[in-house]
Amino acid sequence: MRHRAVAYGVSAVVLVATLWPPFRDPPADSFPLSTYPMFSVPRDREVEVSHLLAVTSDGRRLPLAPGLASGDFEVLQAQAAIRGAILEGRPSMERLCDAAARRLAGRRDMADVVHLELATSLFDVLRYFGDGAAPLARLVHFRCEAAP
Amino acid sequence: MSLDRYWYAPMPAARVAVLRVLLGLYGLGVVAVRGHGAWVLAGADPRLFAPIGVLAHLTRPLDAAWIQGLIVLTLLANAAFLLGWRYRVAGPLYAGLLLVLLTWTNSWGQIQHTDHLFALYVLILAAAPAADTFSLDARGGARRGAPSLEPDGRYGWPVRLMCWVAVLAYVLAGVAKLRYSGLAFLDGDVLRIQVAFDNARKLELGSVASPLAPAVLGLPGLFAVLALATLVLELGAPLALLHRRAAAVWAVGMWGFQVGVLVLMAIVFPFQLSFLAFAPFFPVERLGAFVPAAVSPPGADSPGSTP
Repeated sequence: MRHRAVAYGVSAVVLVATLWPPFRDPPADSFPLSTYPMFSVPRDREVEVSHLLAVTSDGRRLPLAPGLASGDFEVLQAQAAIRGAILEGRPSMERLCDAAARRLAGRRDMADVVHLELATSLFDVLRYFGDGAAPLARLVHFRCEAAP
Repeated sequence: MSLDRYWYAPMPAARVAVLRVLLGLYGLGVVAVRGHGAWVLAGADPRLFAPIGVLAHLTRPLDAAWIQGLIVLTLLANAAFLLGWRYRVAGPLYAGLLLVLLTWTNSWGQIQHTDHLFALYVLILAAAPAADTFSLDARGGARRGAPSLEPDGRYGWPVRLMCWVAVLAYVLAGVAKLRYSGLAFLDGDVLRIQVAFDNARKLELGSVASPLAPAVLGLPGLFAVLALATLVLELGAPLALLHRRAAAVWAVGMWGFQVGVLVLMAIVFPFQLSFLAFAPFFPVERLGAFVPAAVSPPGADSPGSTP
Protein backbone atom coordinates (compact mmCIF):
# COMPACT_ATOMS: atom_id res chain seq x y z
CA MET A 1 0.00 0.00 0.00
CA ARG A 2 2.82 2.37 0.94
CA HIS A 3 4.67 1.52 -2.28
CA ARG A 4 1.59 2.39 -4.34
CA ALA A 5 1.10 5.66 -2.49
CA VAL A 6 4.68 6.66 -3.24
CA ALA A 7 4.33 5.53 -6.86
CA TYR A 8 1.20 7.51 -7.60
CA GLY A 9 2.22 10.51 -5.51
CA VAL A 10 5.63 10.90 -7.15
CA SER A 11 4.21 10.20 -10.61
CA ALA A 12 1.49 12.82 -10.27
CA VAL A 13 3.90 15.47 -9.03
CA VAL A 14 6.46 14.78 -11.75
CA LEU A 15 3.90 14.69 -14.58
CA VAL A 16 2.19 17.89 -13.48
CA ALA A 17 5.54 19.61 -12.98
CA THR A 18 6.74 18.53 -16.43
CA LEU A 19 3.60 19.91 -18.09
CA TRP A 20 3.43 23.10 -16.04
CA PRO A 21 6.03 25.48 -17.61
CA PRO A 22 4.14 26.30 -20.83
CA PHE A 23 1.00 27.06 -18.82
CA ARG A 24 2.67 29.63 -16.63
CA ASP A 25 1.82 33.23 -17.44
CA PRO A 26 4.14 34.07 -19.10
CA PRO A 27 5.53 30.64 -20.09
CA ALA A 28 8.84 30.21 -18.31
CA ASP A 29 11.85 28.16 -19.31
CA SER A 30 13.90 26.84 -16.41
CA PHE A 31 15.81 23.81 -15.13
CA PRO A 32 14.96 20.95 -14.93
CA LEU A 33 11.42 22.00 -15.90
CA SER A 34 11.24 23.60 -19.33
CA THR A 35 9.08 24.78 -22.20
CA TYR A 36 11.71 23.17 -24.48
CA PRO A 37 11.87 26.13 -26.87
CA MET A 38 14.95 24.88 -28.73
CA PHE A 39 14.96 25.84 -32.41
CA SER A 40 11.40 27.20 -32.08
CA VAL A 41 11.67 30.96 -31.97
CA PRO A 42 11.67 32.54 -35.45
CA ARG A 43 14.81 34.61 -35.93
CA ASP A 44 15.52 37.55 -38.18
CA ARG A 45 17.91 37.00 -41.03
CA GLU A 46 20.00 39.84 -39.66
CA VAL A 47 21.89 39.22 -36.43
CA GLU A 48 24.23 41.36 -34.35
CA VAL A 49 27.31 39.71 -32.91
CA SER A 50 29.58 41.40 -30.39
CA HIS A 51 33.04 39.91 -30.64
CA LEU A 52 36.72 40.46 -30.18
CA LEU A 53 38.59 40.53 -33.47
CA ALA A 54 42.30 39.96 -33.96
CA VAL A 55 43.52 42.30 -36.72
CA THR A 56 46.57 41.06 -38.64
CA SER A 57 49.25 43.09 -40.42
CA ASP A 58 47.50 42.52 -43.78
CA GLY A 59 44.16 43.76 -42.46
CA ARG A 60 42.40 40.46 -41.92
CA ARG A 61 40.00 40.35 -38.98
CA LEU A 62 39.87 37.00 -37.18
CA PRO A 63 37.28 36.36 -34.46
CA LEU A 64 39.02 35.27 -31.27
CA ALA A 65 37.95 31.95 -29.74
CA PRO A 66 35.93 32.28 -26.52
CA GLY A 67 38.77 31.11 -24.29
CA LEU A 68 41.13 33.72 -25.74
CA ALA A 69 38.54 36.51 -25.91
CA SER A 70 37.12 36.29 -22.40
CA GLY A 71 38.82 33.39 -20.60
CA ASP A 72 35.52 31.46 -20.67
CA PHE A 73 35.45 28.51 -23.06
CA GLU A 74 31.65 28.48 -23.31
CA VAL A 75 30.62 30.47 -26.38
CA LEU A 76 27.49 32.17 -25.13
CA GLN A 77 29.01 33.05 -21.79
CA ALA A 78 32.00 34.55 -23.58
CA GLN A 79 29.64 36.64 -25.70
CA ALA A 80 27.77 37.74 -22.58
CA ALA A 81 31.06 38.89 -21.04
CA ILE A 82 31.96 40.82 -24.21
CA ARG A 83 28.52 42.46 -24.40
CA GLY A 84 28.69 43.31 -20.72
CA ALA A 85 32.05 45.04 -21.18
CA ILE A 86 30.68 47.08 -24.09
CA LEU A 87 27.66 48.17 -22.07
CA GLU A 88 29.75 49.14 -19.06
CA GLY A 89 31.98 51.44 -21.05
CA ARG A 90 35.63 52.20 -21.68
CA PRO A 91 37.28 50.92 -18.44
CA SER A 92 35.61 47.50 -18.79
CA MET A 93 36.40 47.28 -22.50
CA GLU A 94 40.01 48.21 -21.79
CA ARG A 95 40.28 45.48 -19.14
CA LEU A 96 38.75 42.85 -21.44
CA CYS A 97 40.92 43.85 -24.40
CA ASP A 98 44.15 43.96 -22.40
CA ALA A 99 43.42 40.61 -20.76
CA ALA A 100 42.85 39.07 -24.18
CA ALA A 101 46.08 40.62 -25.48
CA ARG A 102 47.97 39.02 -22.57
CA ARG A 103 46.47 35.62 -23.47
CA LEU A 104 47.69 36.04 -27.04
CA ALA A 105 51.23 36.97 -26.05
CA GLY A 106 53.75 34.33 -27.07
CA ARG A 107 51.32 32.33 -29.19
CA ARG A 108 52.90 31.49 -32.54
CA ASP A 109 49.53 31.35 -34.31
CA MET A 110 48.86 34.92 -33.19
CA ALA A 111 52.30 36.34 -34.03
CA ASP A 112 50.92 38.37 -36.96
CA VAL A 113 48.20 40.08 -34.90
CA VAL A 114 48.86 43.82 -34.55
CA HIS A 115 45.85 44.91 -32.53
CA LEU A 116 42.49 43.79 -31.18
CA GLU A 117 39.10 45.32 -31.88
CA LEU A 118 36.04 45.03 -29.68
CA ALA A 119 33.23 45.34 -32.20
CA THR A 120 29.57 44.72 -32.90
CA SER A 121 28.94 43.43 -36.41
CA LEU A 122 25.65 43.00 -38.28
CA PHE A 123 25.32 39.97 -40.56
CA ASP A 124 22.67 38.59 -42.92
CA VAL A 125 23.01 34.93 -41.87
CA LEU A 126 21.74 33.51 -45.18
CA ARG A 127 23.98 35.77 -47.28
CA TYR A 128 26.83 34.82 -44.92
CA PHE A 129 26.79 31.31 -46.35
CA GLY A 130 25.86 32.42 -49.85
CA ASP A 131 27.70 35.52 -51.00
CA GLY A 132 30.35 35.70 -48.30
CA ALA A 133 30.93 36.53 -44.66
CA ALA A 134 31.38 40.32 -44.92
CA PRO A 135 29.25 42.16 -42.35
CA LEU A 136 26.47 44.49 -43.41
CA ALA A 137 27.78 46.97 -40.85
CA ARG A 138 30.38 47.05 -38.08
CA LEU A 139 30.84 49.37 -35.13
CA VAL A 140 34.24 49.27 -33.41
CA HIS A 141 33.81 50.16 -29.75
CA PHE A 142 37.42 49.86 -28.60
CA ARG A 143 40.84 49.04 -29.94
CA CYS A 144 43.96 47.89 -28.08
CA GLU A 145 47.44 46.80 -29.03
CA ALA A 146 48.07 43.07 -29.34
CA ALA A 147 51.13 43.20 -27.10
CA PRO A 148 50.34 45.47 -24.09
CA MET B 1 -6.61 -2.23 -18.97
CA SER B 2 -7.02 -0.36 -15.69
CA LEU B 3 -4.77 2.54 -14.76
CA ASP B 4 -3.26 0.49 -11.96
CA ARG B 5 -2.50 -2.48 -14.21
CA TYR B 6 -0.81 -0.13 -16.67
CA TRP B 7 1.07 2.21 -14.35
CA TYR B 8 1.93 -0.36 -11.68
CA ALA B 9 2.72 -3.13 -14.15
CA PRO B 10 5.15 -5.72 -12.79
CA MET B 11 8.65 -5.32 -14.14
CA PRO B 12 11.90 -6.96 -13.05
CA ALA B 13 13.96 -5.26 -10.38
CA ALA B 14 16.91 -5.63 -12.71
CA ARG B 15 15.42 -3.21 -15.23
CA VAL B 16 15.28 -0.24 -12.90
CA ALA B 17 18.61 -1.25 -11.35
CA VAL B 18 20.39 -1.35 -14.70
CA LEU B 19 18.90 2.05 -15.50
CA ARG B 20 20.42 3.25 -12.23
CA VAL B 21 23.82 1.84 -13.22
CA LEU B 22 23.65 3.36 -16.72
CA LEU B 23 22.64 6.78 -15.41
CA GLY B 24 25.24 6.54 -12.66
CA LEU B 25 28.00 5.88 -15.19
CA TYR B 26 26.78 8.69 -17.44
CA GLY B 27 26.51 10.93 -14.40
CA LEU B 28 30.21 10.55 -13.63
CA GLY B 29 30.98 12.19 -16.97
CA VAL B 30 28.34 14.87 -16.46
CA VAL B 31 29.57 15.77 -12.99
CA ALA B 32 33.17 15.91 -14.20
CA VAL B 33 32.41 18.14 -17.20
CA ARG B 34 29.75 20.31 -15.61
CA GLY B 35 31.76 20.41 -12.40
CA HIS B 36 34.61 22.02 -14.32
CA GLY B 37 32.17 24.48 -15.85
CA ALA B 38 30.69 25.20 -12.45
CA TRP B 39 34.15 25.91 -11.06
CA VAL B 40 34.90 28.35 -13.92
CA LEU B 41 31.57 30.09 -13.29
CA ALA B 42 32.46 30.55 -9.63
CA GLY B 43 34.94 33.17 -10.87
CA ALA B 44 32.61 34.76 -13.42
CA ASP B 45 31.34 38.35 -13.34
CA PRO B 46 28.58 38.28 -10.70
CA ARG B 47 26.55 40.72 -12.81
CA LEU B 48 25.96 37.86 -15.26
CA PHE B 49 24.33 35.69 -12.56
CA ALA B 50 20.68 34.97 -13.45
CA PRO B 51 19.52 32.28 -10.98
CA ILE B 52 16.71 29.93 -11.96
CA GLY B 53 14.91 26.90 -10.55
CA VAL B 54 15.98 25.86 -7.05
CA LEU B 55 18.51 28.72 -6.96
CA ALA B 56 16.01 31.41 -8.00
CA HIS B 57 15.92 32.84 -4.49
CA LEU B 58 19.65 33.70 -4.50
CA THR B 59 20.55 37.39 -4.74
CA ARG B 60 24.22 36.79 -5.46
CA PRO B 61 26.37 33.88 -6.70
CA LEU B 62 27.55 31.18 -4.33
CA ASP B 63 31.09 31.48 -3.04
CA ALA B 64 33.78 29.42 -4.75
CA ALA B 65 34.24 27.30 -1.61
CA TRP B 66 30.58 26.24 -1.72
CA ILE B 67 30.91 25.30 -5.40
CA GLN B 68 34.04 23.29 -4.68
CA GLY B 69 32.23 21.42 -1.90
CA LEU B 70 29.21 20.87 -4.12
CA ILE B 71 31.32 19.33 -6.87
CA VAL B 72 33.12 16.95 -4.49
CA LEU B 73 29.93 15.89 -2.68
CA THR B 74 28.10 15.33 -5.96
CA LEU B 75 30.91 13.11 -7.23
CA LEU B 76 30.87 11.05 -4.03
CA ALA B 77 27.07 10.77 -4.10
CA ASN B 78 27.29 9.78 -7.77
CA ALA B 79 29.58 6.91 -6.86
CA ALA B 80 27.21 5.74 -4.12
CA PHE B 81 24.25 6.02 -6.53
CA LEU B 82 26.11 4.01 -9.18
CA LEU B 83 27.15 1.30 -6.76
CA GLY B 84 23.79 1.23 -5.00
CA TRP B 85 25.34 1.81 -1.58
CA ARG B 86 23.12 3.10 1.21
CA TYR B 87 20.74 3.87 -1.64
CA ARG B 88 17.82 5.09 0.48
CA VAL B 89 20.02 8.04 1.45
CA ALA B 90 22.45 8.16 -1.49
CA GLY B 91 19.74 8.18 -4.17
CA PRO B 92 17.86 11.28 -2.99
CA LEU B 93 21.14 12.93 -1.91
CA TYR B 94 22.66 12.47 -5.36
CA ALA B 95 19.50 13.69 -7.07
CA GLY B 96 19.42 16.82 -4.91
CA LEU B 97 23.11 17.66 -5.30
CA LEU B 98 22.99 17.04 -9.04
CA LEU B 99 19.97 19.31 -9.32
CA VAL B 100 21.80 22.13 -7.54
CA LEU B 101 24.99 21.66 -9.58
CA LEU B 102 23.24 21.63 -12.95
CA THR B 103 20.94 24.50 -11.96
CA TRP B 104 24.06 26.52 -11.06
CA THR B 105 25.60 25.94 -14.50
CA ASN B 106 22.33 27.03 -16.13
CA SER B 107 21.99 30.18 -14.03
CA TRP B 108 24.23 32.48 -16.07
CA GLY B 109 21.90 33.92 -18.67
CA GLN B 110 21.67 30.92 -20.98
CA ILE B 111 19.75 27.71 -20.35
CA GLN B 112 21.29 24.68 -22.05
CA HIS B 113 18.73 21.94 -22.66
CA THR B 114 21.22 19.10 -22.71
CA ASP B 115 20.75 17.90 -19.11
CA HIS B 116 17.03 18.35 -18.38
CA LEU B 117 15.95 14.80 -19.15
CA PHE B 118 18.95 13.29 -17.36
CA ALA B 119 18.20 15.28 -14.21
CA LEU B 120 14.52 14.27 -14.28
CA TYR B 121 15.41 10.59 -14.72
CA VAL B 122 17.76 10.73 -11.72
CA LEU B 123 15.06 12.43 -9.61
CA ILE B 124 12.61 9.64 -10.52
CA LEU B 125 15.10 6.88 -9.72
CA ALA B 126 15.90 8.55 -6.40
CA ALA B 127 12.31 7.92 -5.33
CA ALA B 128 12.30 4.34 -6.63
CA PRO B 129 13.69 1.04 -5.27
CA ALA B 130 16.48 1.13 -7.86
CA ALA B 131 19.07 -0.68 -5.74
CA ASP B 132 17.20 -3.87 -4.84
CA THR B 133 19.57 -5.69 -7.16
CA PHE B 134 22.89 -5.05 -8.92
CA SER B 135 24.02 -3.02 -5.94
CA LEU B 136 26.21 -3.21 -2.87
CA ASP B 137 23.05 -2.95 -0.75
CA ALA B 138 21.55 -6.00 -2.47
CA ARG B 139 24.81 -7.92 -2.15
CA GLY B 140 24.73 -7.31 1.58
CA GLY B 141 21.07 -8.27 1.72
CA ALA B 142 21.72 -11.56 -0.12
CA ARG B 143 24.43 -12.43 2.40
CA ARG B 144 21.90 -11.74 5.16
CA GLY B 145 19.41 -14.09 3.50
CA ALA B 146 16.99 -11.55 1.95
CA PRO B 147 14.33 -13.18 -0.29
CA SER B 148 14.91 -13.25 -4.07
CA LEU B 149 13.06 -10.66 -6.13
CA GLU B 150 10.00 -11.21 -8.27
CA PRO B 151 8.80 -8.76 -10.94
CA ASP B 152 6.67 -6.20 -9.19
CA GLY B 153 4.81 -2.99 -9.86
CA ARG B 154 7.13 -1.07 -7.57
CA TYR B 155 9.82 -1.56 -10.25
CA GLY B 156 7.40 -0.83 -13.09
CA TRP B 157 6.10 2.62 -12.21
CA PRO B 158 9.48 4.43 -12.33
CA VAL B 159 10.11 3.02 -15.81
CA ARG B 160 6.63 4.08 -16.94
CA LEU B 161 7.18 7.54 -15.50
CA MET B 162 10.55 7.97 -17.21
CA CYS B 163 8.99 7.02 -20.55
CA TRP B 164 6.15 9.47 -20.06
CA VAL B 165 8.50 12.29 -19.05
CA ALA B 166 10.61 11.71 -22.17
CA VAL B 167 7.52 11.70 -24.39
CA LEU B 168 6.07 14.82 -22.77
CA ALA B 169 9.37 16.67 -23.17
CA TYR B 170 9.35 16.07 -26.91
CA VAL B 171 5.65 16.89 -27.26
CA LEU B 172 6.26 20.19 -25.47
CA ALA B 173 9.14 20.89 -27.88
CA GLY B 174 6.79 20.32 -30.82
CA VAL B 175 4.09 22.47 -29.25
CA ALA B 176 6.66 25.25 -28.71
CA LYS B 177 7.46 25.26 -32.43
CA LEU B 178 3.78 25.61 -33.34
CA ARG B 179 3.22 28.21 -30.63
CA TYR B 180 6.00 30.48 -31.88
CA SER B 181 5.73 29.90 -35.63
CA GLY B 182 2.36 28.31 -36.29
CA LEU B 183 2.06 26.05 -39.31
CA ALA B 184 4.54 28.35 -41.10
CA PHE B 185 7.18 26.25 -39.34
CA LEU B 186 6.52 23.62 -41.98
CA ASP B 187 7.84 25.77 -44.85
CA GLY B 188 11.33 25.24 -43.41
CA ASP B 189 12.44 28.88 -43.24
CA VAL B 190 12.45 29.01 -39.43
CA LEU B 191 14.71 25.97 -39.31
CA ARG B 192 16.96 27.18 -42.15
CA ILE B 193 17.49 30.60 -40.59
CA GLN B 194 18.10 28.95 -37.20
CA VAL B 195 20.81 26.73 -38.68
CA ALA B 196 22.36 29.69 -40.51
CA PHE B 197 22.17 31.89 -37.40
CA ASP B 198 23.73 29.29 -35.14
CA ASN B 199 26.62 28.56 -37.46
CA ALA B 200 27.29 32.20 -38.38
CA ARG B 201 27.31 33.21 -34.73
CA LYS B 202 29.69 30.39 -33.82
CA LEU B 203 32.10 31.34 -36.62
CA GLU B 204 32.03 35.02 -35.67
CA LEU B 205 32.66 34.12 -32.04
CA GLY B 206 35.69 32.02 -33.00
CA SER B 207 34.04 28.71 -32.15
CA VAL B 208 33.47 25.42 -33.98
CA ALA B 209 30.66 25.38 -36.55
CA SER B 210 29.28 22.66 -38.80
CA PRO B 211 31.44 22.08 -41.90
CA LEU B 212 28.33 20.84 -43.76
CA ALA B 213 26.16 23.85 -43.04
CA PRO B 214 27.28 25.96 -46.03
CA ALA B 215 26.36 23.21 -48.50
CA VAL B 216 23.07 22.27 -46.82
CA LEU B 217 21.91 25.87 -46.47
CA GLY B 218 21.93 26.10 -50.26
CA LEU B 219 19.05 23.56 -50.34
CA PRO B 220 15.96 25.42 -48.99
CA GLY B 221 13.59 22.59 -49.97
CA LEU B 222 15.45 20.20 -47.69
CA PHE B 223 14.51 22.29 -44.68
CA ALA B 224 10.80 21.89 -45.36
CA VAL B 225 11.33 18.12 -45.20
CA LEU B 226 13.37 18.43 -42.01
CA ALA B 227 10.73 20.68 -40.43
CA LEU B 228 7.98 18.15 -41.19
CA ALA B 229 10.08 15.28 -39.86
CA THR B 230 10.83 17.24 -36.69
CA LEU B 231 7.17 17.89 -35.94
CA VAL B 232 6.13 14.32 -36.75
CA LEU B 233 8.76 12.93 -34.36
CA GLU B 234 8.01 15.39 -31.58
CA LEU B 235 4.21 15.49 -31.72
CA GLY B 236 4.09 11.78 -32.55
CA ALA B 237 6.14 10.83 -29.49
CA PRO B 238 3.09 9.48 -27.56
CA LEU B 239 2.93 6.60 -30.06
CA ALA B 240 6.09 5.28 -28.41
CA LEU B 241 4.03 4.53 -25.31
CA LEU B 242 1.71 2.14 -27.15
CA HIS B 243 4.02 -0.69 -28.15
CA ARG B 244 7.69 -1.62 -27.88
CA ARG B 245 8.14 -1.74 -31.64
CA ALA B 246 6.69 1.77 -31.99
CA ALA B 247 9.03 2.88 -29.21
CA ALA B 248 12.02 1.45 -31.08
CA VAL B 249 11.08 3.20 -34.33
CA TRP B 250 10.48 6.49 -32.53
CA ALA B 251 13.69 6.25 -30.48
CA VAL B 252 15.80 5.61 -33.57
CA GLY B 253 14.06 8.46 -35.37
CA MET B 254 14.60 10.83 -32.47
CA TRP B 255 18.23 9.76 -32.19
CA GLY B 256 18.60 10.50 -35.90
CA PHE B 257 17.14 13.96 -35.28
CA GLN B 258 19.84 14.57 -32.65
CA VAL B 259 22.50 13.39 -35.09
CA GLY B 260 21.11 15.92 -37.55
CA VAL B 261 21.40 18.68 -34.96
CA LEU B 262 25.03 17.67 -34.40
CA VAL B 263 25.80 17.58 -38.12
CA LEU B 264 24.02 20.83 -39.04
CA MET B 265 24.75 22.95 -35.98
CA ALA B 266 27.63 21.22 -34.14
CA ILE B 267 25.38 21.11 -31.07
CA VAL B 268 25.77 18.02 -28.91
CA PHE B 269 22.95 16.55 -26.83
CA PRO B 270 25.04 13.79 -25.25
CA PHE B 271 22.22 12.18 -23.26
CA GLN B 272 20.19 11.64 -26.42
CA LEU B 273 23.18 10.81 -28.65
CA SER B 274 24.31 8.14 -26.18
CA PHE B 275 20.77 6.67 -26.52
CA LEU B 276 20.44 6.70 -22.72
CA ALA B 277 17.50 9.10 -23.02
CA PHE B 278 15.58 6.26 -24.69
CA ALA B 279 16.82 3.43 -22.44
CA PRO B 280 13.63 3.27 -20.31
CA PHE B 281 11.69 2.14 -23.40
CA PHE B 282 13.75 -1.05 -23.69
CA PRO B 283 14.37 -4.22 -21.61
CA VAL B 284 17.76 -3.00 -20.41
CA GLU B 285 17.88 -5.72 -17.74
CA ARG B 286 19.45 -7.84 -20.48
CA LEU B 287 22.56 -5.71 -19.98
CA GLY B 288 22.74 -7.09 -16.47
CA ALA B 289 25.16 -9.71 -17.70
CA PHE B 290 27.76 -6.94 -18.05
CA VAL B 291 27.34 -5.58 -14.53
CA PRO B 292 30.45 -6.46 -12.47
CA ALA B 293 30.11 -9.37 -10.09
CA ALA B 294 31.07 -7.13 -7.16
CA VAL B 295 27.62 -5.52 -7.29
CA SER B 296 25.69 -8.50 -8.66
CA PRO B 297 23.85 -10.54 -6.05
CA PRO B 298 24.50 -14.29 -6.12
CA GLY B 299 22.08 -15.79 -8.69
CA ALA B 300 21.12 -12.36 -10.07
CA ASP B 301 17.54 -12.07 -11.48
CA SER B 302 16.47 -13.46 -14.78
CA PRO B 303 14.74 -10.84 -16.97
CA GLY B 304 11.27 -11.92 -15.85
CA SER B 305 8.16 -10.46 -17.42
CA THR B 306 8.82 -7.68 -19.92
CA PRO B 307 5.69 -5.74 -20.84
